[in-house]
Amino acid sequence: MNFTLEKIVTSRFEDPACQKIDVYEKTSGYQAIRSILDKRISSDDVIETVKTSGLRGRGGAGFPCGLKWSFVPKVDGPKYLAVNADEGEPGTFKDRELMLRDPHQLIEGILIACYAVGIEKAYIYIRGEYFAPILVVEKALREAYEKGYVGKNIFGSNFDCDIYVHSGAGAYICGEETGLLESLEGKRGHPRLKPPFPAVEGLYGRPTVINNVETLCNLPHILNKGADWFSQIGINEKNSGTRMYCVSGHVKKPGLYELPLGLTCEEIIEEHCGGIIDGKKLKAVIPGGASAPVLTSKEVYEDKIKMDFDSLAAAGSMGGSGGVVVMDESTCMVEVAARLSRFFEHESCGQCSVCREGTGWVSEIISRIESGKGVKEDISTLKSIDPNMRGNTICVLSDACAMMFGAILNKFQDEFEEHISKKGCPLNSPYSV
Amino acid sequence: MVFAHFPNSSDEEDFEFSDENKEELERIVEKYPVKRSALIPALILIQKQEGKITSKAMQFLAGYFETSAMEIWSVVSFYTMLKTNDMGEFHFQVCDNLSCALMGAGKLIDFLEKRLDCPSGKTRSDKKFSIERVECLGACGGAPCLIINTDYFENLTEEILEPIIVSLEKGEEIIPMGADEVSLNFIKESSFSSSENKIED
Repeated sequence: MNFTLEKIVTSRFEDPACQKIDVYEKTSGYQAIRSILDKRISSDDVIETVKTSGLRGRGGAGFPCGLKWSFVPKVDGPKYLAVNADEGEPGTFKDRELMLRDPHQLIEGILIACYAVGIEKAYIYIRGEYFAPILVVEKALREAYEKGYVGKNIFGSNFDCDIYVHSGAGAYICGEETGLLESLEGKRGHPRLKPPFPAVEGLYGRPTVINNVETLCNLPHILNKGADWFSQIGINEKNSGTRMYCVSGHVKKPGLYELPLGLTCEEIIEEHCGGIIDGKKLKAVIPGGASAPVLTSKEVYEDKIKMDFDSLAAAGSMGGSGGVVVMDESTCMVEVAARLSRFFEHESCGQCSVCREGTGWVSEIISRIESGKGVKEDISTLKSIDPNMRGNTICVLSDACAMMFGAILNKFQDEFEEHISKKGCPLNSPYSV
Repeated sequence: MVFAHFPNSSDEEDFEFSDENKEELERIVEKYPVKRSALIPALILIQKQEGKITSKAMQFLAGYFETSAMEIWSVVSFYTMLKTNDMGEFHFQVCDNLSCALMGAGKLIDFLEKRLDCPSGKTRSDKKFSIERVECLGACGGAPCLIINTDYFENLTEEILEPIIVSLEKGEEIIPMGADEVSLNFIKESSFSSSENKIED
């Protein structure tokens, strides 16, 4: 267990000059990939290193990175890497700043991943709203191509790798890995049924790895300093390294905090973010993006819940995207549930009846309760819908919606009941939009 | 799901790419082993040129990608950033998702609608401004936030937004506020247009 505050992926954030390739190189930039190629380290060894480090995906699922790479069959023919820079999970804003402030770190991570899996073409799928990150990454790529660090015969080896930027056009579901692939293929972002998994049958039907931006940004550091160094950071080997917590809402100092996995939520809020604004009390925290089941004040301050993947899963929530949304006592939880239900309703791709209809009905019922037109039966209706929206669809957007409103309803049922009995919002909808 | 409306093509002119954009399209298509992958980038390019996607443009793309206009429409109707109506010269995309709502997006939107004399979801009749309420923009640490055309503005209040609107009304340039600021110098130094992705060997 090691909770020393060492910055890994945000180590260059203080110096904007590091966006430029020459300055990036002066801070150990492109050293990892150069070393791998110069020393002719085998791609299997790179995969082993990443496996041993314990690096888990930082996009939302927290799946072990090295293990995912090892699912790609060793076959001839093209394989692809799709970089998931679609960052749409409400409360999440880390990949945006990783691309703005340290674009070459991402490029180097991409090269390492491609080398490890035998990939020669990578597409960085950046959500369409991220206009500035798109321009920054495109420019950094031009710098890297110019120096021969991307393209043919990288660092004079026989490793070829082309990297392209591909813009999205506004669709949260294109952050789902197979939705992303469909969009990259020029279609509606409708997720695919799994299996087959993308590692076997992905982009254009070929073996494809999909990795989140932050996950890839860790790779140069892991290859430079070693798997053991990384695996010893954080609470244990299964939850190793740091992650960028994106804190927003009712805290004095919202923003990005790269911290070791396993600190308590209380420590993040109180010691790093300055505590709740205006001396108010905490009511609820979403620990990992809108899909992550909400935590109560008791869970934060009495149970002292830890913010690593496994601790949060054990508590019935999830590490997710690292989006930490803090809500104080002035927040109406019914309003929160209504707003997030409407989000899932908008973003449902519409393929599966359970999701399309479910997100719609949940959104309608909770909005009706919020506006004072709820009836007693609505609560049992919502509770009966919850399990039906889990495990019955092609992707987990439906499950995410159910996890979201199920947790809010279970933990704050009194607020729903009060809206119904008082025919309105007792807090007078302070944050209504 | 959100439902989109197929544009009325009765008074549209035929669509054609500008010469510059014709070349840009060629460059885009080269990035992919399968041509169809260039569809969404092509649509974004059309919207840059025309301000919106017309049905004639969709018919053009149907020919280019050897598919049906309905197939192109199925893609256009899916993505929120692809527009079939005119947006304002300055298009405000205001986040009203959770973190921004907690930090006052509701009041900000009320102010914006009154100040610009334009309801959300509409374009003002003189086509100077339009307002769209959007989902999370990925700037939650700087909530409430919005995008004007392609620039992010974070940590907004009415007092901060007012002079920005005045600048737009006067035709003065505005610069982003928030994380985007760190990109300005790096992007400006480029002597290439943003369209060139790769140096030919």
